[in-house]
Amino acid sequence: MDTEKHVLKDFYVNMGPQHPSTHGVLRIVLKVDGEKVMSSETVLGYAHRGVEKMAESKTYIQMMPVMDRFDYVSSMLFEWAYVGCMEKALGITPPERAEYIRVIMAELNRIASHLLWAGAFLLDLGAFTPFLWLFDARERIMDMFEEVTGQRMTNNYFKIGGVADDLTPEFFKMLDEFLNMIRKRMADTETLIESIIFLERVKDIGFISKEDVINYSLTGPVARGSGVNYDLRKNEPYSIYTRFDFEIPLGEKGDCYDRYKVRMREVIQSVRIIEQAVSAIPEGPFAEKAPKIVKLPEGEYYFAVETSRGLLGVYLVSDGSANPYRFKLRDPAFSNLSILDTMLPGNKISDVVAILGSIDVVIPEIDR
Amino acid sequence: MSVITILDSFDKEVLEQSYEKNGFNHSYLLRKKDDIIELTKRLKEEEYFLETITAVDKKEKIRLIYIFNKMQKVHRVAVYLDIDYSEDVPSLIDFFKSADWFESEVYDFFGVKFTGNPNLKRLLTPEGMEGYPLLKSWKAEED
Repeated sequence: MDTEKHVLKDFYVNMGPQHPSTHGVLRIVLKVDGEKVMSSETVLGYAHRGVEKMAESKTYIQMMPVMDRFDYVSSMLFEWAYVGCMEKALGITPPERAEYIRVIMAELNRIASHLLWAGAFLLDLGAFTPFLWLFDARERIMDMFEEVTGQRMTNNYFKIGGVADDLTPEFFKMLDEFLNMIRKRMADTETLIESIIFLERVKDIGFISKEDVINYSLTGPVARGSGVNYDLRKNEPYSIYTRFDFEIPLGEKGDCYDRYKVRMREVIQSVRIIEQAVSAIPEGPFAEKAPKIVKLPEGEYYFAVETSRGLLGVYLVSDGSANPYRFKLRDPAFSNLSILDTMLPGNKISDVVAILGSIDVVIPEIDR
Repeated sequence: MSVITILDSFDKEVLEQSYEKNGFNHSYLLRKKDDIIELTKRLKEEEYFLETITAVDKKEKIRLIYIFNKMQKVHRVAVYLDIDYSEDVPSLIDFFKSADWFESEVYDFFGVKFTGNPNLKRLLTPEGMEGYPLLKSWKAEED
C-alpha cells in the first residue's frame, strides 16, 4: 500500500484573530506536525487605528485621552510617558505632591496590570480560582481609581504640570485597606497556584537567552525573567524613583515560570514603593500652572518610562504649531512579541498558550 | 570605548541635542547611508541595543532615526540618515533581529525599502492598503 498518499503535509492551524488566549485580536499561523509546532507566523494589524497619523491632525491636549487607549490595563503609565515628554519640551516640573501622587497611581496601575495578567494567564492554563482571588484584589484598585479619577479604566488623570485632581481622604482609607490585604493575598494565591499541574505547564518551556534579550530589544519582565537587570526606574530614573528603596526581581533561566515569578514579585516591590510614598507624601498643590494651548518649541523630544511591560518611549517632533509634526510610540509589547516566532517551533500547541501568555501582550498597544 | 571615539571615523554632522532637553545623550547625522552598518556593528560590540527605528517625513526628504541605548546605564544615541523618497537603505537585521519588525513598520508607513531584510512586509496596515500613510502627501479620506 502506498502510505505516502495518506501523509498529511503542511497542516496549518490558525490561532486567532478570535481566540480566547490571544487576549485581543492577534493571529498566529501555526504550521503543525501532529501536536508539534514546526513554524509560526505572527500576523498583526487587526486593531490598527492609525493613531500616529491621527495625532498629526489633533492638538497635543486632544491626544491625552488617546494615550489611555493603547494599553488599557496600565493606562496611566502611558499617560505619564506622553505628559513627561511634553513637560520636558516645555521645561515644566510638577510640584512635589504631584510627583508622589503620580508614583502612587502608576504603581497601583502596575499592580492592577500584573494581577490581571496573572489571573488571565492562569485561566488560559485551566486554573479558575486564582483568577477570582486576584481579580478581587484588582477590583479594589479599580475602586480607588474611580474614587479619584472618576473612571475605572482610561482614566485621563495625568496633566501637564501635575495631575487632574487631588487624592481624597477616602482614597487613603481604601489604599490602607488594600495594602493590609495584598501581601497575604499574593502569598495565599501563590500557594494555591504552585501545584505540580501548573509547574509542569510552565517550567522549562519558552526559554529566552540573555543574548536574545539584546538581539530582540526585549524589555520589562520578559527581559528580567532572563536575568537581565534592566528597569528604567533604576537604570534611567525619572521622576522621584531614586528616593524609594525597592528591588528589581530577576529570573535565572528565562522560562515561562521565571517570567511568572518576576511579575508576582514585582507586585510586592510596587507595594513597597507605595507604602514609602504614602508615608512621605507632602502637602501642597497637586498641579503646576500649565498653558491652555500647548505649543512645543520646535525640535525633537524623547521620553521613556517603565510600564508594566517594559520600555515605553514617546517621540515627538514639533514644528512649533499646536499639532505634533510627528508622534511615535516605541512600545514594549511590540518588540517583546517579535521573538514569538523564534520561540514556538518545537513546542506543543498547548504550550503556545503558555508561551504567548508569559510574554504578556496587549494588542491595541502593538497595533496602534 | 566611548561612543564619541567610535563615531570619530565616520563622516557626520553633530546635532545639538542633550539628554536634559531632548532625551538623547548624543545625536549624529550620518552623511553616508552605508555607514550605518559599520556603526551598528561597532555599537553592538559596545553592548548597545537597538531601541527603535523610525522616520519623519521632512517634506523634501525622509529622515530615518535609529535609537540605540545601553542597558547598564542609560546612554541614548540617536543616529539620523537623510534619504530621498525612493531610496533604499541597508538593513540592520544581521546585527539585531528586532530590526525586522522595526524596519517593516517604517516600510509600512513610509515606503522605505531596506535591502537585505527578507521579511520586509506591510506589518500593521490592512490588506490592500495603497500608499504610505505617514507621508505628509497622504491624506485620510473624509467620512
